[in-house]
Amino acid sequence: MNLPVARSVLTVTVVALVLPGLDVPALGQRPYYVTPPPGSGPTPMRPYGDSGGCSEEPALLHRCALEKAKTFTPPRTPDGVPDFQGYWARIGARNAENIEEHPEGMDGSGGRSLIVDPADGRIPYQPWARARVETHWATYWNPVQQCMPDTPPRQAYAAGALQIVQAPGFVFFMAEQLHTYRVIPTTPRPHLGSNIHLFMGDSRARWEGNTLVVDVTNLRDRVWLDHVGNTFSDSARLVERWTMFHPDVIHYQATIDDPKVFTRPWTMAFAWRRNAEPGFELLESACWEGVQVGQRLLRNELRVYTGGFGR
Amino acid sequence: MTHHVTHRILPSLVVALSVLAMEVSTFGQRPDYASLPPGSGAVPMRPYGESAGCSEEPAMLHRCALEKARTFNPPRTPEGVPDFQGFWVRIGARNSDNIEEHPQGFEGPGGRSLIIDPPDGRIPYQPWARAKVETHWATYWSPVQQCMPDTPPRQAYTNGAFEVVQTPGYVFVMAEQFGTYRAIPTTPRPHIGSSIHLYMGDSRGRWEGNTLVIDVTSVKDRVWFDNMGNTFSESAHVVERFTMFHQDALHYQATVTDPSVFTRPMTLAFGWRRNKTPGFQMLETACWEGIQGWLKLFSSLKETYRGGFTKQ
Repeated sequence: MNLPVARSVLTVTVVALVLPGLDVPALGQRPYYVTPPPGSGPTPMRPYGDSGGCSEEPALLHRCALEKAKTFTPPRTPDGVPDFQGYWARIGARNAENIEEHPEGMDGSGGRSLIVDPADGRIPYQPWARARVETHWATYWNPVQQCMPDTPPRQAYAAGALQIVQAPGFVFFMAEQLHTYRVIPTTPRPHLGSNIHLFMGDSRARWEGNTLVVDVTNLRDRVWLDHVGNTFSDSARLVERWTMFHPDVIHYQATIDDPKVFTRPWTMAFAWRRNAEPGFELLESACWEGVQVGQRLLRNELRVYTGGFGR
Repeated sequence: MTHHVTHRILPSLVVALSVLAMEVSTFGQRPDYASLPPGSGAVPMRPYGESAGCSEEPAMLHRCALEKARTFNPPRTPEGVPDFQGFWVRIGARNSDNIEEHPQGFEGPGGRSLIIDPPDGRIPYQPWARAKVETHWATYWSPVQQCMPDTPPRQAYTNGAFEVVQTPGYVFVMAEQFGTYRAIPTTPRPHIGSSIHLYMGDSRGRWEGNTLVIDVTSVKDRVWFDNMGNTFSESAHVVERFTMFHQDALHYQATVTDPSVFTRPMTLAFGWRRNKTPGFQMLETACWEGIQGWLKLFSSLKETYRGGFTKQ
């Protein structure tokens, strides 16, 4: 009897010491990376660098990249489409804490909103949905703590390396983080039936000039866009656009339409920089084991997010 | 309170009824797909079919496929290596119940051993390792119940569709089951450091004639070969060989060397058949959610397998 008690005490002590260092909103403490209320004044954050001749700050990068893309001629694959193959890493999107503007904290850099439309950088939630999302961080385990995958569009701003491979009629993305992949056909074919919902969604792509346009439907709603709990419903539709504007930089934007929870479509933008390290290869950020322990210990504190926008 | 009780009784009933239909070894009942002791006589199983002119029974498929491969000329990619691209599904390996020979059960077809060397089809465990593995099914949750990935070589005999994509210097294998992928370079490069262990291992491919040979090191030992608990240690070294012997069939074999638990290397063999469904696409067999509910309900009955072959 003594041993189990000693074990519990030790474990709880270790957890108590570790929690303050964890990048998770837990135990009732509001995370430092929540969005400050409008009118709070300048948000403290680390400065942004430059890539491909553009500032990495999302809104600036967005305008600058699309301007440069007008005159840029990308390399081509043997079948004549822009060649995006190789290894890439996100720029502009610096973390997945909060896709809206948020201040820097003890281990986060802070960041401007990824949202370039609406111009105020806020997700255009319907009022009930904004109220619901505000409770997410305090109510639920962050789905990534359960090793839920980085689904579109979050895969595009996940930490770690991404690899693009192209074959005639297909584009493939492979991510180190949480080991997800996407198989994207670029030939015309209908979407899956609307009663099917997949974590990675159902992607249908086409080339519009030099831009890869990916239409994503059939999403599941058990994941979040970030750690504070911003999310969408399973009726969300996503249109992603990848445009190379420099041999080593690709502009990314995604427009999300979800009339159930948003008042209007909205668009996020950032970019990918080529990882040109010689001999680089994808390894893995495994997220299969261990995470459940935290949930078992503290399972009364937070609930599992099971989608439906917090049903 | 009544509400609370109902909430507890109802799930228990559902679970009790579901357990009977589940293909898992649990509650002390030895699974129907356990290997029979040597000398048990004929093992009942459903008959094997044929693919590409060979029986799908692993040992026969192995001989027949390699014989046919001698004269088969595979299609080639633009860079001149054999073209394995497309969608595939396992043959010969019919389930992941047990890679050794096992009888059919109320929902499994049974099957011959995937092991073609040693010829007795038994994994050549050192005696202590065989004894330890015998306890796995009763002691641990099968790692796939926790959504652990299908790692090499298990990815190759997992359920569902595979897609192979090739680019100059690379072969990529994507699986529907558990959403795993492998990125396999075919140009010479050294393995990563031996202190690193990855679920999918560190793969180095090369072409030997028409055969894709993949050398896999740096594997993690937290996964099993099958639902019985057969497994390896993290010093395991896997050499896989993919050979096309018919335009719609690939032969696969994997030799696993692991001197810390086996007395000698062992080789598994089976095949892949092309999936030619028009308009086919990879979907996903999601294994991210839900299973934890099961583990929570019965968390005291079994332990989590943490690898090491000895750690308890």
